[in-house]
Amino acid sequence: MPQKFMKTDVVVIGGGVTGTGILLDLSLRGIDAILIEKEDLANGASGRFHGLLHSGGRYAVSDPESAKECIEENLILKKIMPDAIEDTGGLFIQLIEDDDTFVFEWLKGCQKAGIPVKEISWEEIREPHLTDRVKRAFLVPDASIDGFLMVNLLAEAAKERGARVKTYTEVLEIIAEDSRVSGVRVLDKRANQEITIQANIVVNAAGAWVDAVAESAGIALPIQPNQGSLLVFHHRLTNRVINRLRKPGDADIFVPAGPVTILGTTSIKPEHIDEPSASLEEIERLLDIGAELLPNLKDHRILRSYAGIRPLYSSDTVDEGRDISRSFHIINHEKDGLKGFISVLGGKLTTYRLMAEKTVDEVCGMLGIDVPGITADTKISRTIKGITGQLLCDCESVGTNDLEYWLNTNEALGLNDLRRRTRLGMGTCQGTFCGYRAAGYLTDRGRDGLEELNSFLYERNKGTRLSKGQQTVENALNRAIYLGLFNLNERGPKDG
Amino acid sequence: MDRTIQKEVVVIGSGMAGLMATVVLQELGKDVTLLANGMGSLAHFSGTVDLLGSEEFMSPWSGIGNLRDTERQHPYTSVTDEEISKALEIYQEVLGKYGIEYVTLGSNVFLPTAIGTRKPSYLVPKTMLPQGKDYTVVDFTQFRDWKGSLIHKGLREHYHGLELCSIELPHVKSLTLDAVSLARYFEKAEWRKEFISILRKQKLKGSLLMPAVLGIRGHEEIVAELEAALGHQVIEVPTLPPSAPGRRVYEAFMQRLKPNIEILYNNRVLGIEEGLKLRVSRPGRQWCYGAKSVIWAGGGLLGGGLVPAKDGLRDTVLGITITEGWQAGSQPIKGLYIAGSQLGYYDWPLEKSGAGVALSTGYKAAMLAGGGYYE
Repeated sequence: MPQKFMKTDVVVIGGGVTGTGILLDLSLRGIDAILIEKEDLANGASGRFHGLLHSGGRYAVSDPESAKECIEENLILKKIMPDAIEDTGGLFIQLIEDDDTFVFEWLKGCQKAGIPVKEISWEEIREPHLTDRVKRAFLVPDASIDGFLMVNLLAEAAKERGARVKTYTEVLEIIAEDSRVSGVRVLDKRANQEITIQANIVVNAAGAWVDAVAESAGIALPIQPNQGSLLVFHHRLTNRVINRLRKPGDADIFVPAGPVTILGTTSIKPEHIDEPSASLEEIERLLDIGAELLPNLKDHRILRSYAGIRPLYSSDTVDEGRDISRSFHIINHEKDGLKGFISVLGGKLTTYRLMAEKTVDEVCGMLGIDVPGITADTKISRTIKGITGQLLCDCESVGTNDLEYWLNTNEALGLNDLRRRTRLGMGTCQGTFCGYRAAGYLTDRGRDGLEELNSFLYERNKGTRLSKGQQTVENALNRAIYLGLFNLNERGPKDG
Repeated sequence: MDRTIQKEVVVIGSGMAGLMATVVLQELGKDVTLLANGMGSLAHFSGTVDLLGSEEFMSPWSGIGNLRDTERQHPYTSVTDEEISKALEIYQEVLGKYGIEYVTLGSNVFLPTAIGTRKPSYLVPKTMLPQGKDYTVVDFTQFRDWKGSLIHKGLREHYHGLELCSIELPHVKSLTLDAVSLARYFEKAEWRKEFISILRKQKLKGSLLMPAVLGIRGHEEIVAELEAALGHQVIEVPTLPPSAPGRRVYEAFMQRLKPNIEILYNNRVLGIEEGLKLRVSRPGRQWCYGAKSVIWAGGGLLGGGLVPAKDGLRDTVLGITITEGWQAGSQPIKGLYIAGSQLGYYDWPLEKSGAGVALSTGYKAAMLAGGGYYE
């Protein structure tokens, strides 16, 4: 296999919000960097989370430190990333049976963290699907956030400033000489080419895979992967984010996201981290508990379910699941006998910017550079607006110009990669119609559209197989078209 | 107050199975009422009558014979080959009178699809049957539900020397143009003239593959006009719904039924009780129908006769949850016959048996309900 060499100051491993956030921060401070991601950007938890920009309210009692970080970052991100955020506002709802003492503690916690809370009356709630068994309701600055778009905007902004991004590229080895990192050896999976990247510092921000990456440098990290599963409903069932006001548990948050609503989450030990999926038990649990807030929940159509992995880090091995702090940790592995290697653990999407800034502060210290971070004041905007080409996806309003924009940044992007960047196929039809049209557009560009469509439909169908008999009507339409009309039997997904 | 209207036979559902059943009852001279909620799954119907298709056999009849031996609950076990043939004959006659000629070669024929694959079918509109040696895919730049490059790329391995041409349709500006709306353009003679003059400037070879949008009313005349003016055979290929050929089928059946059959639209059946009493909701009020026999052909998940339930599928009229559709020949209530895609134990998209099962079980149900076998 032909070898290839590259050289940079910092290699960032992981194309989630943490990694791309670090990459942008590095590029803004003038430090050359290359990001390595083994799949596509936002393939892990950054693309499989709740879509919630926390106000901090959820952690006001259990995790005051995270609560304070959340509200500070919430206000910053609304300013710097307006295109990826819909400022819906949020509600905390206490039901008649919920504990008054907790509400008291919660109000105290919010005040301490600096979270603005406003109690509103029943008339002011204006959420038609909400149960009438509400005791008290409080407004907080929660918001809805598009994780896919956010990660891609960060990566594009970093690239504009000279950073390099290599997706579908896997780390084979962290190279060290005399207890000091000198680079990484990686495999570009699409070109099937090994690359040796010479670097002074390697930042491990691999999320659920952070321990695996550390292990390739011979370092053990105590990670507790924790699965959260979510359900997507085919309408916007709520106007605002709706939280249950009690001790954080399962299925107590609804987030309106574009044309759909996401209910979550659960907290279980995952069976595997590479392709997490929601179990039937989790789905039923989500529906049962969710119905306490939205009583007619089961009458609404579920588009799909999905699951993400929280890479929780606990130095205290007794803690489990929801008891582990959602705060983040930056570990300089010099203490483990390896200089130039940092791991970033824990944390949450809402606080990615702060995590990135603290990490790059550490990197600057190691490189002996004294440049302050400016991400809190750097606005990142989307450069395309509206439909100019052909309209492909009616649900999410995606046109050929949206695909063209991303293909111009990287011609190798597949239909699934484009879905994560544009939201193509994420609405009600789940790709049945727009998948066809996008496949045609890719064929126009000289690609194998049919092959792309096959893997796109396969990915889409994975999340819609809730159980036998519970397939949605849209899923039946998808089969009627792709099997019945187009005869994709041989090559297409066989869902049953 | 009991305002029950008494009927001899009530057919619920205006999809393929319900329409077929109603025509048969009409033939048997029955007093029949058709309760229609909407157009049902005909909006997704390609217009080709698939009986059973696979790469492994060319004759659907031998495939059906094998099915009857291996899949004992399959809907085809409840009908004979003669009954299937009779249903196809009636269908062909209804569509023929409307002006759509259907043809069969006696075995399956592989038709080009809008995705560049090929699909086996049995009884097909003459305008969909590929004939000749050379072909050109005609792409319309403003029509997003028919992607010429995709079709061309896939079909190249089946049709040697397949060409592709792309034209801009006159006066079409909509971003969301669908097949049925485009079919309405083709019904206008002036517009067709402009279309023809644009297409004549293109280099065309052999038969022209176009999306199934070539008019709803007067479809065959439109195709004949295009062929004469262009000097090429035109072949229609079904594409994404809403389907223009499905609309033609609906109109053909309506033309046949309307003169002497009562058809009530926007009538949703809420429930059915012992003694065949139907509770019906129509805009503004509720109503009751009584009948000696009822044919329940409201469709499966797509048609809305069945809806997903926690542990299976719930029948929206009978209120019963079943695991995977009704078994062919079952009568949940005496005098109630079930036809079409509410039947379970078959997978029509996979088998390519949708229209075949709908037509033959609709025929059979009507014969049983109307006493056709005993007169």
